[in-house]
Amino acid sequence: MERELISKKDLLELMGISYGQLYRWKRKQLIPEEWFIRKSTFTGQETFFPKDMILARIDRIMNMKEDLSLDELAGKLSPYQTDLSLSKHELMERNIVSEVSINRHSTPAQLNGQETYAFELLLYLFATDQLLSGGEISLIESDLLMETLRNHFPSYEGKPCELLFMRKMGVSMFALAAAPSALHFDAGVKIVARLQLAELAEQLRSKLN
Amino acid sequence: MTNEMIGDLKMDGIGTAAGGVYKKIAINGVCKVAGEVEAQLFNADGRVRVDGRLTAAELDLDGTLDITGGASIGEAAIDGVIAVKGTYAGRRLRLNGMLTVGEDCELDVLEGEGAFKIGGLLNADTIDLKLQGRGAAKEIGGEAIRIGKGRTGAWQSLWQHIMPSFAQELVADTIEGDVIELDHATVKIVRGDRVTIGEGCVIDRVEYRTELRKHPSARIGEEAKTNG
Repeated sequence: MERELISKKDLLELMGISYGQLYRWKRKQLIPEEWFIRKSTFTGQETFFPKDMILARIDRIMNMKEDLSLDELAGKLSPYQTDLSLSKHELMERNIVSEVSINRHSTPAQLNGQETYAFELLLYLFATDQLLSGGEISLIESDLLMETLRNHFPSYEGKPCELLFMRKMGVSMFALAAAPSALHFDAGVKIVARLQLAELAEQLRSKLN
Repeated sequence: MTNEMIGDLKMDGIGTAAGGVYKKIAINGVCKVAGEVEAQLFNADGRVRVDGRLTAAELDLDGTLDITGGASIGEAAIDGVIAVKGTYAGRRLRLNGMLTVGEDCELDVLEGEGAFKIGGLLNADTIDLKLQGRGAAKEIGGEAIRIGKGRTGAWQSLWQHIMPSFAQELVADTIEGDVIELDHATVKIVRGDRVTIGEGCVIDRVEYRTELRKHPSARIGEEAKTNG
C-alpha cells in the first residue's frame, strides 16, 4: 500500500514548528525512528514522513506538551497505550470492524453491550478484520489469529512487532516477531500477509479520534 | 536502575574488573571492564575499555575510554579520547579532545573543543564546538548549531601535514537547525532558519527561512529561501 508522504520541510511549514523541536522530539522518542524515511530528491537527500501519522502525532504532542514534560509525554505516546474503549454499538456505527468479525470474536457480554472493547482487543479485531476482509485468511484461521494475538501480543509490552501469516502446502500459520526483523523461510513458504502492529494501532487510533 | 547497588569499584594499575552495577567507579591505570556496567559516577584516569554497554549518571574522563556496546551517560566531561561503538545518548557532554561514535549521538548540549566523528546523526539542542581537528558526521540536527575552527596552535600546520585528520574542518552530508553558524565547513546541504556561513566553507546547497549571512570567501553552490 503506497502511503502519502510529506517532506520534512513541508511538515515544518505546515505545522509551524522548528528543526530544533523536531529533533528534540525525535531524541525523546516521541516520533519513532521508522517514520523517518530517507529519499534522494533532485536537491539532495531529504527526509519524508508518513503524512497522516506524523500530522496526528505532532498535533498530539503540541496539545499535550503544555501540561506534561517531554519525558512524561513519551510514555503517553506509545501507540498501544490509551484508555479508549468502545462498545459494540459504537464500533459498528463507526464502521471500524466488520460485523462478521465482531460477532465471531466477541463475548456474549460484549455483544449485548454490557462490556466494552479495550484498545488492545480493538487492535486484535482490527488486524484480524483487515486480513479477513482482504480475503487473505478464512474465518477459521481468524480464530487462530485472535488466539495468537491474545496469548502473545501482551508479552511485547508495547515494543514494535509485526504479524506474519504464512502458508506452506496448504497449512497456515501465524507468527509474531519483534520489528524490525529479518526472517527467512524455506522456498515452500509463502508469506501471505505481513502487518506492522504499531502502524495498525496508529491507524486505528486515528479512526477512533 | 532496578538492580540493587552493590557498592564501589576502585582500581589502580593494570587489571580487569567484572561488569555490573556500582555506585562509584574510580579507575586509574590501564583497565578493562568485562561486560555491561552501570554506575552513578564513573571516574576514569588512564586507558579504560568497557566491553559492553556503559550506563552512567556522570562520567569524568581524563585519558582514553573505549566502549564497545553503546553508552548512556547523563553528564560527561571528556578530557582525552572517548570512542563508542553503537549509539551514545546523554544530556550534556563537555568535550576537550576527541569524540567518536559509531552510530547516532543524541545529547541536549554538546560543547567544548576538539574533534569528533559520528557515524550517524548527531542530534543535540545546542552544539557549540571549536574544532582543533576534524569534525565529521553524516548528519547534524538541532536547535542551535555553532561549529567553527578553534585557535591554531604553533604545531598545527606540522600535525596537519603528517596527519590530514588534524585539519580543522567540519565535514557533513546535511546540517539542519534553527540557528546555524559554521566556518571551515564542507557540507552538501545546510537547512535552517538563520544561517551564517563563515570563512572557508564549501556548501553545495543552503536553504534558509529568515536570513542567510555569508562570508565573502565562502563558496555556496545554490541558495534557496523557503517561505515562512
